[in-house]
Amino acid sequence: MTARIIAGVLVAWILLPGGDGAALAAGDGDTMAEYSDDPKICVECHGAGGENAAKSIYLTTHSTTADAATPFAHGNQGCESCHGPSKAHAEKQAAAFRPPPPMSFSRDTPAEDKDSICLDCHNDSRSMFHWAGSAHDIENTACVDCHTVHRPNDPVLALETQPQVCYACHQEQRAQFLRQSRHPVDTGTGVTSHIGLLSCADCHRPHGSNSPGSLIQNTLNETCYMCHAEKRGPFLWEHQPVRENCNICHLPHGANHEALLVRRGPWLCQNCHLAQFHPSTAYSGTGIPPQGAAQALLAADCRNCHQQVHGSNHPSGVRLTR
Amino acid sequence: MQTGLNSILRPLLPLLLVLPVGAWAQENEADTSNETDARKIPLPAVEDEVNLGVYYLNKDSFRFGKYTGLTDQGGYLLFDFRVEKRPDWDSGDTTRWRLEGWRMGLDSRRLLFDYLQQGKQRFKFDYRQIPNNNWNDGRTIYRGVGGGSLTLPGDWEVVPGSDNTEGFTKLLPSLSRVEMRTERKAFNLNYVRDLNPGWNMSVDFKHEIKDGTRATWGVIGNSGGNPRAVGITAPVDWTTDNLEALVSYALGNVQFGAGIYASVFSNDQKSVSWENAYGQNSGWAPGVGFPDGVGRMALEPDNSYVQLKTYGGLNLSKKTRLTADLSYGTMKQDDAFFPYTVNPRLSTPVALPRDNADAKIAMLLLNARLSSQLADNLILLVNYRYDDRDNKTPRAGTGYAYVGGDSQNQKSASSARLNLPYSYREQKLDATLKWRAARGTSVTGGLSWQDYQRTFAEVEDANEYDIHAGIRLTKWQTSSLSFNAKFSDRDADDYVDNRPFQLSHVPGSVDPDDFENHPLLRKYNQFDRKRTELRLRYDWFPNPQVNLGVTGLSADEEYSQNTFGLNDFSSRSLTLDGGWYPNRNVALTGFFTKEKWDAAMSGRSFRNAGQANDPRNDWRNDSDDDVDTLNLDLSFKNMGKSEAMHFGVSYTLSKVKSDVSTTGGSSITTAPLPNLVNKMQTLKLYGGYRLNKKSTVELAAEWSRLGADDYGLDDVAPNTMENVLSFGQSAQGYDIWLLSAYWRREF
Repeated sequence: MTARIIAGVLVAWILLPGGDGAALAAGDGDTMAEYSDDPKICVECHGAGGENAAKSIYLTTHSTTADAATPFAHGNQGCESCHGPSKAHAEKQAAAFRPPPPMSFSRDTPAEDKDSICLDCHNDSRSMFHWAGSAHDIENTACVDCHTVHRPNDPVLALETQPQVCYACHQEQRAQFLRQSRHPVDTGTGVTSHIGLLSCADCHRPHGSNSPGSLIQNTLNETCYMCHAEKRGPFLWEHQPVRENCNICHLPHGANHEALLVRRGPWLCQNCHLAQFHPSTAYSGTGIPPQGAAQALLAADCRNCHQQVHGSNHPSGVRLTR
Repeated sequence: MQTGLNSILRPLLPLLLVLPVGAWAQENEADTSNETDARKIPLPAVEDEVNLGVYYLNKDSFRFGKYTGLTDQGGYLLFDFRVEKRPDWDSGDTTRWRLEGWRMGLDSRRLLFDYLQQGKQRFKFDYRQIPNNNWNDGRTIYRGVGGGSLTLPGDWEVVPGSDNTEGFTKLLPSLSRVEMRTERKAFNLNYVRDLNPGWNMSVDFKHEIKDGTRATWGVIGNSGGNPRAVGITAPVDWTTDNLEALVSYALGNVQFGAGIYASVFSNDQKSVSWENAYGQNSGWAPGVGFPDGVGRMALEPDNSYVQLKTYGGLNLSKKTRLTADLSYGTMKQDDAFFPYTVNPRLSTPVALPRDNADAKIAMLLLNARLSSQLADNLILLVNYRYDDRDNKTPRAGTGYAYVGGDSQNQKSASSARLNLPYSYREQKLDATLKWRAARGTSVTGGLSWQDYQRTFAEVEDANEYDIHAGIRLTKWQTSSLSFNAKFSDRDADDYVDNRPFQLSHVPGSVDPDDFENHPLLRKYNQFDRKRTELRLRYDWFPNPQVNLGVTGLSADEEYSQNTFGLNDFSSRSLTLDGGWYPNRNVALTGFFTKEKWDAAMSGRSFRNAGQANDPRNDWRNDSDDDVDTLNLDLSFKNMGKSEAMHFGVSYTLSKVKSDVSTTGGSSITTAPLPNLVNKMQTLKLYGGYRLNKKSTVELAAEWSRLGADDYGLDDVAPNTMENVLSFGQSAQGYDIWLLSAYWRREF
């Protein structure tokens, strides 16, 4: 029975009319439309200060005529390489109505259609290898939702401004970077002590990767080891969750507790360590001054003794105290 | 910490000198040439920029300068710059470069040089300096801070017969202030070269130095109430080199690439040792207490990781694409072992079974993805991931006859402990359908299966299934909506609570029923779990002047099978954000996020077998975190008669209140804990005046306050605890004004 179902699905898959790909979705009328023959004609209207100003495109890599791969290279169509043949749009109009260019990259245009224009050229770089099926692709995030191609300095490509582009959608991360325990990524709030020393792309690949969370290495731990290589070990005495996933104890963007911890000790530790005597003790206000002074509650809590929580390489370090 | 202008400019000068001056001239020519264009459309000019001025911090504040270096009261140089060369678009030139510097007068400086020959090659140099101030008001009794050998003051005394902090008669005069601070200096080099046709190579190299001092803890003693701990400083003297080299090919329907990633970590300080400050404890061997005892901790050993990687993609048809990544690497660590103890008075007749751990983990990763356009509006994505971490570290058959905390004579061979080289394997298969139902309406849905396998752990095999779905609606003129949901269920095959305990002891040395953790404990990262995640986002933009948005997030984790351990966890967050732009010169933007993080766990306090079975010793702990985050910014530009002014005001609040409470059965005595509170507020007034076309003066005044209540640090003196001598530092806060004034000059 199962084999029949699988066979049926396969046959249906083969027989289904395959789409021609979004790349051709720019408009059925493309073949009928004509290109204007001047790559600068567009900025007559779309110059500085005007609506949809785009003159700065001439400062970007897209406009370098000597690079044969650019839209403005000799033989290519300049603005119309991306916006489609727009002679009718550019011509003086007798009537009030001016036909829009075939591709205006507006929010009404499906992401796949917009992306197909960009992917026409940017489809063979290593960074785009994992795009199809990436989180942003599945969420219908278009290239132009993040990238500003008409500006000489695309904000999403600069460490200092990139996070603010990401925060437009990833707002919970913005709030997390305002915690006192956090990685120093800019919060976009203008607070001087929260300037950005790292960017989102230091850990993530927004175009997709082969790891959960679109990380830049194969796994979360390998990504963390890029800067925290001292925790890589391997150690003689390992701590099981450390080897498995840093996120079991840490929140990478920002946390309510010190050292990016998900919860406060000793309870974070007691989630997994409930041995006789002090590991299983019920810690409460009886352990803080003036009522008491429990060594698993004050200062560094459990780490007052078990400080080698990421592993120990000392032959007497079985309890992670050496 | 202030840096002189000279020390910044001097290293830059050689760079500036070697840059092609002709290129600068070309920029100036660009405008002229454009003027001759038939259409007379002047193109924007490239403008270099320098910001030069001062910061003034009105108070010392170690914590405020955590990542910036704005730490000490006084003035700091404010110096940023950008110099760049862009070719005229139709000049035939493909070379562009830029040199940028940020915060050159602070310890958080960054320098970037980016050189691009379009279509040929790109070179980048990126230098980042990242300070990390931890705290500076703690105190230590030790001398030799920053090194690997800590000694007690020459006149250190302990009351005869005392074995805890109460016996430290010379504590107060012996304490000296200590600062915990580290700094990273990272040098990144990146080179990419296009090798026609279709070939490309890239090399990334990062050299990072991290040095400074961090806080750690030295403990002498092992069990039975005899451990005595003391806050000690550990030197940080680390170097990490990461190299990645890749060659890739992409042409037509085929893409592939191969390369290597290598990472080497080295630590110039292999250990830290400290003299025992505590008097002799009856549970210790003779010669362990002051003045003879000494302890030693192994610091992070050198290690390396080398990984070979390859990837490929193939368009099977016009509608179907298959991609795969395969990588294999090995993590290694073989630093020589220290002896079982540094204390020569302790007896250690059993030799180490090995000279080093010869630790090794083989990492194998396969990731394959099939994407197929089943119809014009329907895409199928199937992903398979195989992540295997095979820990090949040898287990010494006789175990390690360890010395407990440099305090006891060596354990007998039968009490030796065996290391547990945990291996981990994860497989995941998921399938997602993405359907563009109509213009402005897209729907996704899918299923996934995940398998976890571990060695030496309580759970050796677990499976997890999830179903996920989402909808995104952008068809309305003035609003959009998206909603995503995911439900997952993890099911462990079996939970053997004492497996790690049994496997870490020499066979026959413990009874098969012996355990360490309570048998009813279930570790939350391994055992059964049901998880629900919901996300809603709504945007409303009724007109170009207004936009509003709301995001709601909810995640629930239920560990219903856990008698003890984490029982449930939930997080909720609601974000409101928006902007109001009444005209092109005025903007009001802001966001407010409210979050709740709740976790509940339970346990049983026990000291013997009877108590282990007595539910009157049960306890429950609830940790509820409430977080409010707010930012409002009101800005005005092009103000005044000549439209030369801009100014604004910004307010930011981040407040965390953590309510932790423990309640217990009839045999448990508990009391409330004070809330943990962390509140940061910043009010910033800023403005600028354009003196002329090229010059602007910018001023800013920023008030920032951080208040923190932390029962673990507040009112805790170094000797508050009997058996732990802490640093006694405070929960770091500040209340400062930061003024800045600078001149921006464009060239």
